Amino acid sequence: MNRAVFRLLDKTILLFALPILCDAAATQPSYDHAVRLFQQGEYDKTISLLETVLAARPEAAAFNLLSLAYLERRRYGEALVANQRAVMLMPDNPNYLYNGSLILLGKGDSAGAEKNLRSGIARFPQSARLYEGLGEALYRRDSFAEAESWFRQAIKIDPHYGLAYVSLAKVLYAIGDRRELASAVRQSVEFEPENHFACYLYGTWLLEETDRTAEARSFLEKSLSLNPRSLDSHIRLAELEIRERQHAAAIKWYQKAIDVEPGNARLHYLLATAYRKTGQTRLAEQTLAEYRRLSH
Amino acid sequence: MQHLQQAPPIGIRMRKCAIATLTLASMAIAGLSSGEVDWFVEASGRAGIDFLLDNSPTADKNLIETMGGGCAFLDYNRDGKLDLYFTNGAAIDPAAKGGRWLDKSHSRYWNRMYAGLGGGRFEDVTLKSGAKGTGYGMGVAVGDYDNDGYPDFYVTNYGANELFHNRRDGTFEELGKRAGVEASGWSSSAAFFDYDRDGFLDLYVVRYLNWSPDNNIFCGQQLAGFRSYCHPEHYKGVNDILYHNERDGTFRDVSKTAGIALPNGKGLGVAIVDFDGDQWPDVYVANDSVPCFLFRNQKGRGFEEVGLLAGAALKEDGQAFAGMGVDSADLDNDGWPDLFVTALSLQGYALFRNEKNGTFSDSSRAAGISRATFNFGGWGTKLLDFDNDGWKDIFVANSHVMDNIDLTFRTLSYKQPLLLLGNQLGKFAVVSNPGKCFAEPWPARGAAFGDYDNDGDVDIAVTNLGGQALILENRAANRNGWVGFDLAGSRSNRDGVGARLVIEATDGSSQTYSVNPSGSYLSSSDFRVTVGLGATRVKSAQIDWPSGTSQRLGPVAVRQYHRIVESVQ
Repeated sequence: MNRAVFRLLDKTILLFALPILCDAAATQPSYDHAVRLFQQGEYDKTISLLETVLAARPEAAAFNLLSLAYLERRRYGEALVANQRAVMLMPDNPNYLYNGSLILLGKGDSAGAEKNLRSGIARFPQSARLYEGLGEALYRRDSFAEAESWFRQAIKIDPHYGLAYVSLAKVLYAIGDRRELASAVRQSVEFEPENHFACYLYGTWLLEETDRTAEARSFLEKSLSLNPRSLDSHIRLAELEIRERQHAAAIKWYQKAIDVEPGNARLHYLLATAYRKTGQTRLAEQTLAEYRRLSH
Repeated sequence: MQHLQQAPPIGIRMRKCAIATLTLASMAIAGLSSGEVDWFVEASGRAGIDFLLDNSPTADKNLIETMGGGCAFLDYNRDGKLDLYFTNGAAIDPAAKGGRWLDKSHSRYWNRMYAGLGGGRFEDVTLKSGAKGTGYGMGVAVGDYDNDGYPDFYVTNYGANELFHNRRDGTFEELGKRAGVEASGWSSSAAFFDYDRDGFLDLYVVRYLNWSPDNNIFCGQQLAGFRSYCHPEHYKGVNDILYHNERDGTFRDVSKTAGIALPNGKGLGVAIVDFDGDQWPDVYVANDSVPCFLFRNQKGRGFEEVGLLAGAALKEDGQAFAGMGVDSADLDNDGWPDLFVTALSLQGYALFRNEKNGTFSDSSRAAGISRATFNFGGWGTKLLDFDNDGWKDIFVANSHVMDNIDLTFRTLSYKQPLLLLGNQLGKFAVVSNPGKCFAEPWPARGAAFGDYDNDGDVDIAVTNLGGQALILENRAANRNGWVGFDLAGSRSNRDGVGARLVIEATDGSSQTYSVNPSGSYLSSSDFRVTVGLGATRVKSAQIDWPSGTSQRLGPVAVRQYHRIVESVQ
């Protein structure tokens, strides 16, 4: 019965891919432009530009970026093909192996990702990124003990590898190790101050374990500014408002979250609860009806 | 309906400190070691309780193996000494799937009846009483369904359930089929209550899943020792059953017409609670990993499910949780019953505070419940004033549901300590000296509550899966004042189940109780109401009977039980 543990709504791993897309490529400045498009969330334009660039001259970095753009569009088959082209052109780059595993995880093949990463680690035993990726694959399969072990190995190999701290914090949260979580979330924001998930975890920890609500708000708002589509950050900010009896403000957070993902039943329940607490019974009932509809 | 308001509790707390100081001295004189005043001592050996819950675990990880069993305090022979009943498993023969794969014939699997002898001692009278049962036992509910003054009881099983009718000669006859309450499938908790207030107890039976040995799938990892019990998401829920008492020794299944036959529940615990104060008993069902039910009584004509609307179906984060044990009582002394529901490890238990307007607020975090219970998995539970200070505390029997959880979660363990949360002005903190047995981990499941030594404090029986039951004798409470009530209905059901008591103390404070033997997990508790008074005395007591009769008593002598017969107006 492992499923009843910490669950996040956001697909955080996609953001983890960002730090390793910017390899040098010979096709500058078209490649630079594609990177900018990707970072702006213009995935279709990224794909279109890179397909043109790559038709003229195959480049490992461009294929890698193309695979990540496909991944964002959930075009997993094409993403894998592009990733394999990148690996073929530059077989000694462990980052491409890592990204290939991200694609497999994206399509729900955590066993394939695990296999990929284990063979990658055999080839590149000093790549902290691959250890962290293997931990992520195992985390997705609820193998928390193993996941934690690989995250810790990643940190041992590279004590400055911030994503490993973020991942470690995530698994510690999942298994309820509140004592070790404290240092892991601190290190997460220390090493990855611009990572929205690190900010989310630290803000959540502050909210749950301390009375430092102003600081919690600051980190949660930063998380949201880094990833405006983060449902988890929206929900935590609403919780914070409720804790301070600012129910009207909470309602706004829930409404914004529903704007991001209108089909999420849980968000409608939370909004209905907030309506009920503010005496808006009719709205509460209407919103609950929507919750019931979406739940079924 | 008026509800008396509780005065600020600060005075009571201050008195408690003074009393505790006095009691330390008196308890030391009584011979407790090193001056430590433990709330409970484990007394199964002295009590003569040697019950072992044999769940017959197999390599197949049949889900039923990890879900039983319950226990009940009852006074079946009406001698004034509480007796104790335990449900038990059965031998599981995997090769006989689909046929007679459960075998209860060996004595190690019998349900057990222990008769209270007085002085805190019991005697095994299983054979003599005729209550050894025939099924793979789950829960037990006690109720005098024929109003003859002698408690009967109902045993839920995997398979047909059993109704043990009290013959009034120390023996029982099993009448489940004849009375029409056999049911089928997998029943868990049950509760007798009078939903239409006609003076006869009806029966609510919670059912869990459509699991069977034939659809038992493999869960966990394909490694030796890593197969695990499956999550309920792998099985469909089944509807609960409401049986109406036909007043002729039989019951009629009214589940559909009464509106409780919802197919999407996966129920484990049940609490009867008049949450909206209309004097009609409502039903809260703790469902496992799907929204919990709150059935609002439509003045005896049926029920409406209002859990979501009332804010008691999900936790404040909008997530369903693994509801298992449940109880209801007025935790903040505001006159309105609150709800407490146990859950799986890493979820935290839920405290739903009654907002006095037909809704609840999840106060788990604010009350300190979430933090105190986060790593626990809870089963049997009750909200009672274990130290008689005037504020109800929380007891939980804990254990993870998976017997090999230690292999996959280094932060969790299968066996877990019992938990006693002391009520401190409506917030809860772990009691620092609950007793030595609270420091040990147990595979606990059911828990029943009753003052078996009649000394004015509530003792506890706890079942352990695959292990011996615990008897926790309360040693902490009789330093404080108390008063007990043993109700006898005349127009109402004989045991006064559902009656509400408002006790007004001499300092102006008041407490609200109800006659509520159900709740907990698979278990049934003493019908008597024991009220902790701290240093106060009873100015008055009002009893609102299920019949609608209200009865007011003047100053009531403390430190004794009072037999109150319903007045006929």
